[in-house]
Amino acid sequence: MKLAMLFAFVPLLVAPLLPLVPAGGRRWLPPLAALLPVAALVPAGALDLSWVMLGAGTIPGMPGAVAVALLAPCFALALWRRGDGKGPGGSACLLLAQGALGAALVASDLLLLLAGFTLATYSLLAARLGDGAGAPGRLPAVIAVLVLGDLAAFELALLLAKATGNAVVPTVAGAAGALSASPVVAAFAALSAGSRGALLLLAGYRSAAALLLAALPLLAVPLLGWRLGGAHAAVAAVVAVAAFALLAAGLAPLLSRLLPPLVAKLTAWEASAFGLPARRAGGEPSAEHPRRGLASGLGALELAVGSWRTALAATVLLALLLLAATLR
Amino acid sequence: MNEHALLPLAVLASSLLPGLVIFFLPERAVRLRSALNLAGATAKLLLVGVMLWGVSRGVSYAVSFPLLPGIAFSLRADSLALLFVTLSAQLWFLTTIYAIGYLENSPNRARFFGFFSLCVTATVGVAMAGNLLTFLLFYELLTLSTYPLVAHRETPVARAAGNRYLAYTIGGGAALLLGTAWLYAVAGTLTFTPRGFLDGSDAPAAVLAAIFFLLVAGVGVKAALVPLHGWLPRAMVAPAPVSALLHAVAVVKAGAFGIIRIVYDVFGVEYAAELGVIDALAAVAAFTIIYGSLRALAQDDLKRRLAFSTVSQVSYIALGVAIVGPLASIGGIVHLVHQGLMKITLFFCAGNYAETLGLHKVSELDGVGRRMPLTTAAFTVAALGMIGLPPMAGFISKWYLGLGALEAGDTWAVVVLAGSSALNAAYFLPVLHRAWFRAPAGPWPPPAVGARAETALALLVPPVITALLVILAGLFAAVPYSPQEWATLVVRREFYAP
Repeated sequence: MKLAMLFAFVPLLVAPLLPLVPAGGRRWLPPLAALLPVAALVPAGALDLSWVMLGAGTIPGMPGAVAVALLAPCFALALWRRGDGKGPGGSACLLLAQGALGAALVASDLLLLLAGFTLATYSLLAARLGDGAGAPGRLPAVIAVLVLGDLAAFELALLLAKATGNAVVPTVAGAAGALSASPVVAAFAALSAGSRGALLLLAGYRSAAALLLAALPLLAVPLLGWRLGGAHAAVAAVVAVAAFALLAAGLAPLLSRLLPPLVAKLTAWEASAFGLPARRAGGEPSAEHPRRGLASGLGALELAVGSWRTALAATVLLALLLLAATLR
Repeated sequence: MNEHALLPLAVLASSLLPGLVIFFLPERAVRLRSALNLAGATAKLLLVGVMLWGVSRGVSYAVSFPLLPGIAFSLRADSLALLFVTLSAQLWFLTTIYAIGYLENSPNRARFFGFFSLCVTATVGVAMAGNLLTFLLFYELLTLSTYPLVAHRETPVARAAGNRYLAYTIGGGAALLLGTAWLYAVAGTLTFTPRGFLDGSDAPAAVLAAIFFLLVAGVGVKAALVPLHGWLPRAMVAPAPVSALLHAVAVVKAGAFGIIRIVYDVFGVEYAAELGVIDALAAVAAFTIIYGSLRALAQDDLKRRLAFSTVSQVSYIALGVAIVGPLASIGGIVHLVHQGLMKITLFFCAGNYAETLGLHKVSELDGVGRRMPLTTAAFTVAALGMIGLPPMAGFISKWYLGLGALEAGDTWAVVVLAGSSALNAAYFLPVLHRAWFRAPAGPWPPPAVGARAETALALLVPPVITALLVILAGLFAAVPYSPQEWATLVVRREFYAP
């Protein structure tokens, strides 16, 4: 039974080997590898993956297995349609995404869940790039949204770990027990799964198959909510992810509009950094953007007071202040 | 003298002897020099492997000789020492391969590799020092052996950077010496002891606090704690293997390691907290984390951006130490290894861009991902690890640090870590965006005749391996002998054992 559960991870195991497969096999092998997790439909026992992350595991039960099995034909279809005309990199990334997503769906702990979602997201992005298409204009904004979502999910996972008694590896069940249907659970579900909805905003995903592929991570949202806090949390997670997707939908175009002028300005600054005006008196080229702001202000301050004597004096002063504070 | 005493000496000798021989080899003896370097690095790896196996089973490796009345030259391979020694041995091996490729046909290679070996010897000595005086001796040897590496190019800028480095580090060494002498006068011993030897001392608290600040200022120079960090960005004029060595293997890590030793094995973390000095260290570390990231944002020179990133990231270690509790300690100690793996990958990649395509600035990296996909993939993995995304190594460090901060009730530290992650994203993601998504400004120079890869294999293999290690250290953090498992062992044995 446990062996059957391992099939959920088959794509994860096969993906790195794909570039080694002879070109003739690349058409049929990736879809086949993607279909194998259907075996997870067999009711499987819990799997102890003590060597993964900080000691991960999977849970038995049908919802996760069914979700994994649903993913399989979608990914197999996408891999088959890629054909053998394209390089193995994109296929490997898709397989990696499928395996990671499968791991997230059946994870019994929050760390594997977080890692699975993150790996799946960035693998999908890499697959998009691996196909060699031009970068869609909104991609930087989308990535910014994804990274911020990841960071927020990390902080919320920390809060869940604390709520479950500072567990180093908080279990999904433990977190659900501690904070059933709370806003934290909903927010975590929304951020860890829902921020993947931002992938939908990729201008490059125009074909139906690609759009479906990008939407797959969203399948996880109600499942995740359900696992964390039952039906209420499932509904809360769906509502939260819808709100997040709307926010991302608003934010990404806004960032897309804001970013190009900013990037152009930055490029102009960078260009001038190569020129004579940016050189200091000593002849050493300046390595900093000649821009204003807190970061460059700190740089100017450091240059002005940057001698080792000043550093020594500042250290002595700092030490005396800290000493005084300590004694107080 | 049995084999338990000989092993620490053999580990030192495995880099010291090749280094000394290399000084006397003619410049043209390339093969012999490379063979000596690689043989020494391989021997060190094997010896360290034997010690790891032994220490994990409770074997003690120690040796000491009388040095001064009442003070011995003492080497001891405890679990904390071995964590650092293992990191140094592994990364020295890879850096040696990289340096052989990087410095091909450049002048003064005998001098370079001679001091390179001495530098690693000093680092291993710092790690295995059994008392503060032995630590100080190797710490100063490290200063002297790295100066010629920083000034290796012998340009005016390189010499100025070398002089600046020397001024800072000798100043730090003086503070460390003063603190060590004062400590000996007060406590009568300098031997590193689990959970410290000052608890119960009848010395006034003000004196002990002053000694603490002297010692931490001494090692804080190499750990690049603000405001003692000024040497580090300037030292980026050194060749890429030296930058990698400074940031990931030797100098900066020796400073961070010194902070761990002083807090845990001299003062004891609980006693340091009782004295109140630990809060001051936490404040400086938190400030350094944010300051370094802010400064990194403004750098166009890739190596300088990475240097300010180091200023920020190394203070995670100090912060982990300063948050009193086992989880934060694990986070800080494991980051000693994880940051080393990630940062050496980034510097190897920066060196590849410079050596292969002549790219030194972030603004020049447009489209480089298509030209050098493996190098850029390695850079991407390390950069995402620095941000703290799972399942990279940096995620594990951050997870423990965050949990430790919450455990200790230091919610502000979680805010600092979150802010630092966001800033890391802000200064690394634009680099990745340029490399992968933007079109190059013009055609790339053609590959060298007969080239089978995007750059020389000696330059390509090390960053690919270290990038894989970044993934493996995160993905398989719980396997025996992983950095995280070993850090847990260190904390359990050394700091919080009943």
